Amino acid sequence: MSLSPQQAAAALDDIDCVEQRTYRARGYAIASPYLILWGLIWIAGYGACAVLPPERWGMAWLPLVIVGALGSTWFGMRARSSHAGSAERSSFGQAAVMGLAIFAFIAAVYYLFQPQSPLPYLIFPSFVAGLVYALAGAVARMPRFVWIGAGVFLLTLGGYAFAPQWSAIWAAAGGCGLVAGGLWLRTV
Amino acid sequence: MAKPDELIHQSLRLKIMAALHAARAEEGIEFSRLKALTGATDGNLGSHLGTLETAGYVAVAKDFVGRKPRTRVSITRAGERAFREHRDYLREVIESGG
Repeated sequence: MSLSPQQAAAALDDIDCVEQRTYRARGYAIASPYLILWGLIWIAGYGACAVLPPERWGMAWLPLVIVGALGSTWFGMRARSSHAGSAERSSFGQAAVMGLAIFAFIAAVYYLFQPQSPLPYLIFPSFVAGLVYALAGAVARMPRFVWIGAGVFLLTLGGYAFAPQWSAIWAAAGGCGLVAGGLWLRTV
Repeated sequence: MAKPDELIHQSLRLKIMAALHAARAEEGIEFSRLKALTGATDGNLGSHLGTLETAGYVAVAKDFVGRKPRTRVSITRAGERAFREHRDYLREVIESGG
């Protein structure tokens, strides 16, 4: 068997292409349950914000965030037991650090700008989430994350622009976008 | 100099081995996902998996999830070695300029 450099290069390109597709599919499969879980939490949380007075929003979100943290921990443990490598361990640690950094960033922005209306409290986290998904997708070369981030961002921004009085509903719709995105990732 | 592996070099078998090698830390890849990753048809994939299995490069496991049959394919140690050696051969061909 004798190959020319061109044939060898074409075969290596095929290998590289399939490997990238495999890594991407694996990343999507790992991320899918997180998106679905947090999408459902968003829907419940912002749905509660739509019907409760602002002073009770914190009480509505607290148990939901606890459920989300516990669920995420369980997904992480399940991923570690079914995938023997250390990559999932580090990605779970990275996700925890990212979550804390995003929470700190949103809290700092609220502290800095002291919004007088409750609407920014409803809308701003969706913008940040959209940005984070789009950036993560661009960095990790996972284009579906970019589409999910753009979808959440545009849905929330568009809703706020046309009917700001329904901001909680638009934010909840962003949660629907996450659920749909999580289901979409499972189709790879 | 690494040796070429004619059995692996066939286009679809090379893609199958690349996907299974990339997913070697997992408990195999399901048949339907492998089909999507390699762009193969059912019959084509089944036929080439049979060839690779006979050579001892892949292992095929069949079980049920509820009532649904599931086929998982994974790369064997011999398959990993053969794939890496063939990939090294391809790199050497490029470096040596033929």
